[in-house]
Amino acid sequence: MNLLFLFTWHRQPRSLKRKGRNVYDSSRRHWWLGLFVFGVVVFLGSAVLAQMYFIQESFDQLEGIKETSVPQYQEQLVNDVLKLYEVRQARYNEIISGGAAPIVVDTATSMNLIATTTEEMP
Amino acid sequence: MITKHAKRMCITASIVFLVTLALFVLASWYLYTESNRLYSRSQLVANHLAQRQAQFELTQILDATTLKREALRNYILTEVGVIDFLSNIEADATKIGVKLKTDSLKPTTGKVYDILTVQFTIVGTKTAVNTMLQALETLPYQSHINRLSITTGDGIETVTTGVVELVISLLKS
Repeated sequence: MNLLFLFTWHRQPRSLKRKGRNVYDSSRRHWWLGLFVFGVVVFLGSAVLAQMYFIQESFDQLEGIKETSVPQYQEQLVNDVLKLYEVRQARYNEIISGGAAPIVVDTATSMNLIATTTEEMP
Repeated sequence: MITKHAKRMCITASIVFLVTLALFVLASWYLYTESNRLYSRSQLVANHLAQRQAQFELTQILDATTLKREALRNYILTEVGVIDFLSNIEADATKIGVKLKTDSLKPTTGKVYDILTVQFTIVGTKTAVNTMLQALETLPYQSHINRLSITTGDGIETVTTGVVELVISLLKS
């Protein structure tokens, strides 16, 4: 199908039109023109409907944006830390009350230890 | 030959077609803009619901962890509690049998916690100084020994001097 035909019909020589061929050509031209317009309308309509369909579809997948972030509560970690501090507390009390075995260093010693510097503890 | 009737039909058909097309375009445009508006409003509602859900979850976590947070807070010093802490350490040092002197206090501002760096000088017998060091190591607070220097002589009962730099986290008030 040569669609250019639709737009070049008026350029046909009058002699052809007078001989009656233009009747056939004209009806054929109208037919293709109608089909073309129909196609354009269907195409545009489909595009609009498809877009609306996809918008409608995306409604179901809408996810709200949370401005407040909920921190994940690490219960096990908290329990472990609490247990650790309870143990430290018990040990500290034991040392202060004199119950803990003292560390005895009986050699002449001089030491200087520097722990790894931490800017901030977790 | 194009008759008058054909011309009239053509014009009428064209007008009907154009009007229909215009109505179609108008209806489509209206539907499109309205659906966009609906979408943005739905997004707002979804955001609001998500926000409420987040707040609900946060409240639940806060309620469920009240006791544990209180318990944990006991192990983290606050700026107000520093004086009591130092008094207690000195009292404990006396119990152990060492002389403890606070040489310096250096607060530093941190992101989550403020940091307090305390330097102590401990003087006593070797055994007592070691016991005191052990006590400082096991302090029931979020703290650690950052620097340690011990000078000691021969024998168990000789005077030992320890310089300890203790780093303690302070809960921001």
